[in-house]
Amino acid sequence: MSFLFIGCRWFTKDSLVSFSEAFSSKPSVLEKSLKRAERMKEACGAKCVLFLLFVQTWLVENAGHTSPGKPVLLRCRSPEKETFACWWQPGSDGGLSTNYSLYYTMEGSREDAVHECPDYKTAGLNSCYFNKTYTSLWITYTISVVAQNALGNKSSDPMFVDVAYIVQPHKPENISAELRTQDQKPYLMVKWDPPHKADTKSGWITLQYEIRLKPEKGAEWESHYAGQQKQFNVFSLHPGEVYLVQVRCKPDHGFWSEWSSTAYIEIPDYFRPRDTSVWILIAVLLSVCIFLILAWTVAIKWNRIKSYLLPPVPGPKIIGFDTQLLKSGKSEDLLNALGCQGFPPTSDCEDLMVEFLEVDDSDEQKLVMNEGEDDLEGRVKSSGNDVDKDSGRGSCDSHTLLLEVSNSSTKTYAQVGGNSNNKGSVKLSRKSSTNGKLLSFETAGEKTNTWPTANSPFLLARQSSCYNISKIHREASSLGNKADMHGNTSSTQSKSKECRELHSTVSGDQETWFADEKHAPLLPFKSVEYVEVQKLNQQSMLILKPKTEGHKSVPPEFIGQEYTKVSGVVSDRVLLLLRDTGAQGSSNTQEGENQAVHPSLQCQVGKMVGTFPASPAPEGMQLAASGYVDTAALLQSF
Amino acid sequence: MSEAYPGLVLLLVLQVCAWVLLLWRFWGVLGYPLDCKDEQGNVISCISISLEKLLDRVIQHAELIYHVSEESCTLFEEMFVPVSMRTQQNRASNTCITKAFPIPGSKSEIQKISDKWLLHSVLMLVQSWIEPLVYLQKTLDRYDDAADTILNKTKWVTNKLSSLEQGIVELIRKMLDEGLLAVEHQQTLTRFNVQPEVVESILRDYAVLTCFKKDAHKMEVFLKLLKCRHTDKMSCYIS
Repeated sequence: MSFLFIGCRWFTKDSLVSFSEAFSSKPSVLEKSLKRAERMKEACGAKCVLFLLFVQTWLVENAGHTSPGKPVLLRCRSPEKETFACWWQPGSDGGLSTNYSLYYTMEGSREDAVHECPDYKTAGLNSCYFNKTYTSLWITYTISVVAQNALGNKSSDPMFVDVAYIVQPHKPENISAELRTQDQKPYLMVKWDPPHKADTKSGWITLQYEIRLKPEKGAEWESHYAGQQKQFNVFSLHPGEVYLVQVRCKPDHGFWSEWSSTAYIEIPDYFRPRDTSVWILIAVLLSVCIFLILAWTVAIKWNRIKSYLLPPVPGPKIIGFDTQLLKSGKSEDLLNALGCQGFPPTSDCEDLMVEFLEVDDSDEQKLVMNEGEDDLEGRVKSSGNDVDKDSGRGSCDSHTLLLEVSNSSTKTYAQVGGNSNNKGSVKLSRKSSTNGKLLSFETAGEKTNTWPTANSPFLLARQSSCYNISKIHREASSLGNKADMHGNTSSTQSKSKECRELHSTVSGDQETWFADEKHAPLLPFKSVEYVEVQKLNQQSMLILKPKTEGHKSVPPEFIGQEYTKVSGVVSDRVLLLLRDTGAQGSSNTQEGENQAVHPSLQCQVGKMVGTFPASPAPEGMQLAASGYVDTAALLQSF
Repeated sequence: MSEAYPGLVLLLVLQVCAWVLLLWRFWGVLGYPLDCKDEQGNVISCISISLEKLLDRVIQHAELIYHVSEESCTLFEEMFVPVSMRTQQNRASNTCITKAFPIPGSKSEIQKISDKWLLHSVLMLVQSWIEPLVYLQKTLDRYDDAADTILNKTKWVTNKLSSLEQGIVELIRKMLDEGLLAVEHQQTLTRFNVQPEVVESILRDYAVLTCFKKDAHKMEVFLKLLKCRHTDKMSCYIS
């Protein structure tokens, strides 16, 4: 401005000066004109300046209300490739009311064939809508927007539009999400429809779809490309959450549509099959652990468990019986411990008779014989105190009493010989029925025994045992051999004689007896014969000697009687027997003699009776009339 | 005067500068050469749609038109035409209005045919069918609601046919460098003003549909042939 003023002034001044020089003739006039020019120049400059100032300020003021700003075309879009619309953004309006108009030219037509937008309203504000009539797929559009106000107009940058390439469909419609299960696994089936304006049925537009979903509380979307199908299955789901699902579409050449409206679907909590398998695995592991623990416990406590479940079977045990003693072989101690005396009983009389002879001299039982009891005792008793090797004491068996094992058979005879009464008589009953002989032994001494007749079939136990002994002896060897043996045994000749006689006598009848015995071993003897055991030789044979009975003969009435009564026991050693028939008084006389009897010689008739074995001995027992108790019958009945 | 000369120059320069400053905003109004840019800001050539794209689109049009016309024809046949009469129309193809067009058959004939001929033939076909289809729409209205789908399809076909016409014109213009104006369709409805009987109406409509179907197929074939020539000139034939 100041420059202008200066320039204007300068210009006017110079021009005025030059102008004044031309016109002035008088020097005095020049001086006047110069002064006038200077004044005019100053005035003109001022006016000029003012004028310029005025013009410029006017221009500056008009710059505030300027033509509108340049609009910007934002986009043009076709939803179905049949129509399209364009939107622009207006620029500054320049302070004045500005209107916008859109002009387009169609490629191929004349350059100046500019058309204006047919529809400004349909697509909204600042938009232009081209309907079907104005839309051509064959040409490109050159579109621009012009902003115009009072001061001017402004055109936007043109946009070239090929309708086929600006297709942006509407968003898909009717989106639905459905929960389904496949093999116990849930999945989401999403269905939708294409935008109703897009002509996909005829193939005019082919759309591709895309799905996205996220949990309600999730942060990011999970996208899936669905192709051209109108449904899609989603498998990666988290149960117990609400999912949001959206779909959008795009043509082959074009833009993605907007995301459709959201579909909400809730995934319920389900028991996944994976969990059941996990539970099964846990159960199996637990059972295995429990089993291992139990096995370990059982292994540790096995002994106690075994003793509890399977208590040990008690072995056989007898109170007071010590298996160790048994094993040691000391049978005596064992039996003593048991408190059994005289155990075990011999099993077989025959064996005993074969092997050994034993007479028990126990004080418990005594046998008192009426007549010849002392003889009996003498005969019978032996040193029964001697204990056998193979058994306890002498058994209660009668025949053991009769049988003398020891070598003290001499005593027997001596004692027997000592008896004055010579009551002891041995009667041998001969069972043989055929032989009715009456064996009579004639004793050297006073004792005389009369043998009963054959009709008196009684058998004395002792005698039968003696008989048996004799039998055995005879069976074993001939008596004749023994003649020398019993020679020295008896101190009393009588006895020996008796025995001898007996033996001799017996030997005479040996055959017969043998025959009798052999042939009729079981027949009861009908006659009673008494033998006394002399000794037992080394071959375990019994030396028998007949015993003569000096007493009166057996009363016939005693024949057939088998039992006798025990009247009493005397001094624990003598058994008083009664004769049932006939004379009974003779039983009382035995006391005295018996006193002197060696205890060892006492015969335990009871024992005899009780233990007389069931041998092929005479079975019947008869009571001799002489008063001798024939316990054979008792025994046999036993 | 020489003293004021630089002053004058200075003044002039300054004035010009002032005006320039003032008028700076309005510079664009005056116009300047446009750079052809697309939406993304890329500089593209300002030429129009390429020939290949044009051909593709035209062919797509023709394919779709044929497809839809075939559907509508089948629908009409199933709904309205008795079985006994179906084959008659197929034999009587001479009733089609476009029978005057010779169709090249052999390979040698095809090679003799020029692009011009193809394009003009297609254009003629298209233009000749717009009216009959319009009339067909009117006749189909009389069929109650049963023919709604056919009617819609026919309408659709009509639209597309018009569009195809424009495409062909454009194609001719580009390919043959000929300028053609859109031919004003003459109202040649005089032929169809007669109100026939129902049976004849059905048959006639059926004839129209079938004939159009055939012509649509022809258009598609010609255009594909044209495309084939542009891409591979050696092995094109009419199948």
